[in-house]
Amino acid sequence: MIGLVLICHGNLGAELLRTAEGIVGSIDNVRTISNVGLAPEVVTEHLREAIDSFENPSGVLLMVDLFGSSCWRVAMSCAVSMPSDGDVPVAVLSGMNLGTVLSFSQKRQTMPFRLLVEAMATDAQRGIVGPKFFGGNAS
Amino acid sequence: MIVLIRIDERLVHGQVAVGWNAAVQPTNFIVIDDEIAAVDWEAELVLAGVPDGTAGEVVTLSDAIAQWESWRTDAERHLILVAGPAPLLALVASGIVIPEANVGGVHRRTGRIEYAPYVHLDESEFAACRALCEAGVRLEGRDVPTARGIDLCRRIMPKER
Repeated sequence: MIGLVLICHGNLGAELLRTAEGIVGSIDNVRTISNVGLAPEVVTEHLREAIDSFENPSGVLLMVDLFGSSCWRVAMSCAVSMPSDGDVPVAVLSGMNLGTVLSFSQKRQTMPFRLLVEAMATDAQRGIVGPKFFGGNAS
Repeated sequence: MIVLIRIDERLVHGQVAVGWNAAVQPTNFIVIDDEIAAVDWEAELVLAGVPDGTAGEVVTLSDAIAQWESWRTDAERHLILVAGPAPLLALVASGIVIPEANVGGVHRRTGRIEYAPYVHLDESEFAACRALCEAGVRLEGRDVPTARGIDLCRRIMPKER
């Protein structure tokens, strides 16, 4: 089992999960964490609890909404400080969107952790198409 | 020149790298933090959020004291960040004059009391802020530049002012 934690600004994580579940049905082993109104060490505590809540995961992916943000830093410092002799691999991926969460739900059963995370990154980028301009003067 | 001094425990993050960056247009972000300056990867993480086209550095308090005058007078536009009031108090104690500092992004944690939705202080942070106010530093609570600022010193020392 691969675990996913969404660490986001505002209510993005919970809403993204809810929306994704509206499309593909319930998605197990996903936790959502918001940074709203909380000191970074409190967000870090919530993240540690979320990681510990997975039973025997074969990997845990920490996804954040914005690269370089406080959410990203919490995820990175948490991942860096995981015991290096631990047997659970952890990855951090930023720039989450609906495509990545759907990709996670569809591919988690068939792909090993590393391949899954790489596929999610590719799928996220594949979703950005355009821009195509129509009418008016778009200079 | 120094375009903004901000107390924000999230340091370089969205409100600063997007909001304040647009408002005060810094060319260089300076984080004053002894603990982060001592750990290369932590400094790298903090500076990852610096917007494109701007520079960033993490310095120790003693570096900051040594370089303050050149930051104040050089051609760069420095945005200075500290995670709490203590480093600013140390700067003031060293003889540096800080007329004003912005405060935002200091959030809920056990032991802290709320002074504004984005300013929560524990006892030692409160004492340091109070000492800053007493030293004549105007502390303005304001999370994002488009918000209305509040006089934090008045909230910290309501009776005396």
